[in-house]
Amino acid sequence: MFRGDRMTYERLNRMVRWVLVLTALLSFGLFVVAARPTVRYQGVILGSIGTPQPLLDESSAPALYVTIRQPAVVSFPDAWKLSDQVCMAVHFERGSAPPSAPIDDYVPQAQWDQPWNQQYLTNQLPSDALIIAPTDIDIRTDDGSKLALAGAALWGNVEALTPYRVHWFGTAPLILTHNQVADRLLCYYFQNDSHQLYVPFTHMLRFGAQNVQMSHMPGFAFVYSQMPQSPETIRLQKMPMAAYFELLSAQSSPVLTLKTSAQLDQRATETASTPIK
Amino acid sequence: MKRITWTALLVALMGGVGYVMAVQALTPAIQRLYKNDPTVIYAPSHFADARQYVLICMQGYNVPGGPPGYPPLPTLASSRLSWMPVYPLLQCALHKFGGVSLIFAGPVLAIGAMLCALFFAVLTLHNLGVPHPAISALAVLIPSVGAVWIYLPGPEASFLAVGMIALWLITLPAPAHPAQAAVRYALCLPLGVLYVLLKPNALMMFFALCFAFVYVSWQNSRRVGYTFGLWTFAADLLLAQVRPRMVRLQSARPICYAWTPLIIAAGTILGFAFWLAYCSVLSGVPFYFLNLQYNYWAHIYSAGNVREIIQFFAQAFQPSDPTNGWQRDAAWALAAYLVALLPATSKRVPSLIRVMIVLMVGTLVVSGVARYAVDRYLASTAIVAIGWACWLAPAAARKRYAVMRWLFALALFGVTWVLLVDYLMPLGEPTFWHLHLDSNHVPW
Repeated sequence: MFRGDRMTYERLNRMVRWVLVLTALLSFGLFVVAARPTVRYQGVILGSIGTPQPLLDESSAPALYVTIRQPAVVSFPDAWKLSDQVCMAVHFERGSAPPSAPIDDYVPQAQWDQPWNQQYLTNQLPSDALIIAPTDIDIRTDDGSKLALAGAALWGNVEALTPYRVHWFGTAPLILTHNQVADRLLCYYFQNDSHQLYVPFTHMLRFGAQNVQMSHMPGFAFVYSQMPQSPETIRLQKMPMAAYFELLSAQSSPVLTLKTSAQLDQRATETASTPIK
Repeated sequence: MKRITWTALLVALMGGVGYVMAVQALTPAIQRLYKNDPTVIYAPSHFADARQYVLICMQGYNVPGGPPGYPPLPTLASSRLSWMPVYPLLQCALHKFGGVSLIFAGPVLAIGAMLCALFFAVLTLHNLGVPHPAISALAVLIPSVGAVWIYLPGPEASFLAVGMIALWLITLPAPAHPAQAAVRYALCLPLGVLYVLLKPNALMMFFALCFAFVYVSWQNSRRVGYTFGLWTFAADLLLAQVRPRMVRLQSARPICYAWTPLIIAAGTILGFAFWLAYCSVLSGVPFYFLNLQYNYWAHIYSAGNVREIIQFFAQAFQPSDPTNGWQRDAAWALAAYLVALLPATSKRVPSLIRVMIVLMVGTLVVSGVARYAVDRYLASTAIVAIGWACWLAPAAARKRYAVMRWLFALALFGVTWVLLVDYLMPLGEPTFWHLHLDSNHVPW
């Protein structure tokens, strides 16, 4: 750029001024970038039913795909004494984003020199898996009522009194490694501060996962007993449980299977001897 | 090699030995704070921010997400992006290429940085014409309030070293040939970037560095025949940029530029702009780094308005209330400021250093970074260290007073060391320092 014998102070001063101007311009450009970053949106993207909805990590790579099918408000036989519940078949599929360990602020010093991946295993976390636990499901309603996942009362009745074997969501955390899929039937209801159980007119269901820093998560907006306000909103229809299960069975949904004759006979015998209270 | 270089090397080695001994003396006191935590092998590298730098090296930076459905704004959550990247990078490099355990990478870096700081302190004092620079440079080791921080593994010692290199470059005589000046200037921009990427506090030096540009240029110009005062020179300097011919025609007003401080200042701005952009792009939040400081670390950074600052420092004079942590912090911070400003009151200290100290401290106060951890910020600032070194240096006629000044400085150093290590740190803020404290310990 310059040779020592040709350099004069006048030339040097001119060069320095240019360097300072360029530095100022570059700094200004970086401040503009800082003011208007490529937005890393954190939150929910409204999803539609029947197609895989991605859950993105902080580098916008898909960590998980969630597909919901056949959402409905399901009513149960009166003898079960269960309130209506929102049910849907959910298909989980692992994406390509690598899992990220939760930030651990208290790594014992004895482990400081170990590679981070080994510490990850030491901390008893699955090295290559995402976890979807019941706590990763979140629901918002306009009236502030709280979510309750279907529990043993429903699962036991269905197991004992219907011809279906259902793979429920919530019985245990789902652990998904690469190329793994899982199909579960998700049922939930709502409870307000007065302990009333009901299905609100509007609510939003959101899915999350553990072992990933999320930037986007799919959310599904439902309306019940009213007309949808936007194309993304999903309208829930009320169905009796038997019809709902028949519908899922007819569509060969992997969330449930018909019991074999032997299984049916065994359950009939058990039910006859020990009636469910 | 020049004689002063050998002297600087010798001082660095001797001071380095003293530094290691002080680190050894400090370690048991820090280790005691972790007596209930068996996972901590060497407490100094776990204490306060030191652990965060190691964890950045191990785990990288994080941008916090949040629970599904209810993600808090990242501005409101903790992120290690608050801590600058150069120091963890150095630790990683030392660990990977030097085979040093991460438990001890911080202390090793701190020792190396202090050797470097001492070496360049001697050279800087020599450039400033301070008598007996070898002895006076040892003042770098004894900043009087918050001195402990430069003995702990953290970026403070490295920040001090880089600041000292910057001061050395600023005080170097003007080179004889422009090509030599060009080489020097080429070093300054990366040095400024490095400076701010070690600690954002380098920004507090911005106005001081701008002043140094004017002052040193004025000094250089006087050597080649400029006869007017500083304010006139500043006006001439400004005119020379907007109307170059106007000044060039006036042969009685030759301007000899010393660009070094200005390029370093530009480097700090560039480095900060880079980090701000990087954090913002990573998080998606505009001005993420600043938001982190002003939201998550809001107890450190105030708005910086005069009323708040006065209110804060006024608490130091309230009747003693042991339950009021703010009162203690205010007194400590006020003491740190006063101690930093002390050299600026003395004529023995060169005018360049005196004004730079005042400008740096003023920027620190006005920016709002005045309320917490200010002892660390000041203890690790090269300009304060050099100010104290100049203040302690013996004048030709009154060497006895120099001894008294040294005794005063050492007494301050000892008292504040004991106060900080034995009282403030154990009392501390356990949630901030993440200590497992003995709840029965009531030191006040």
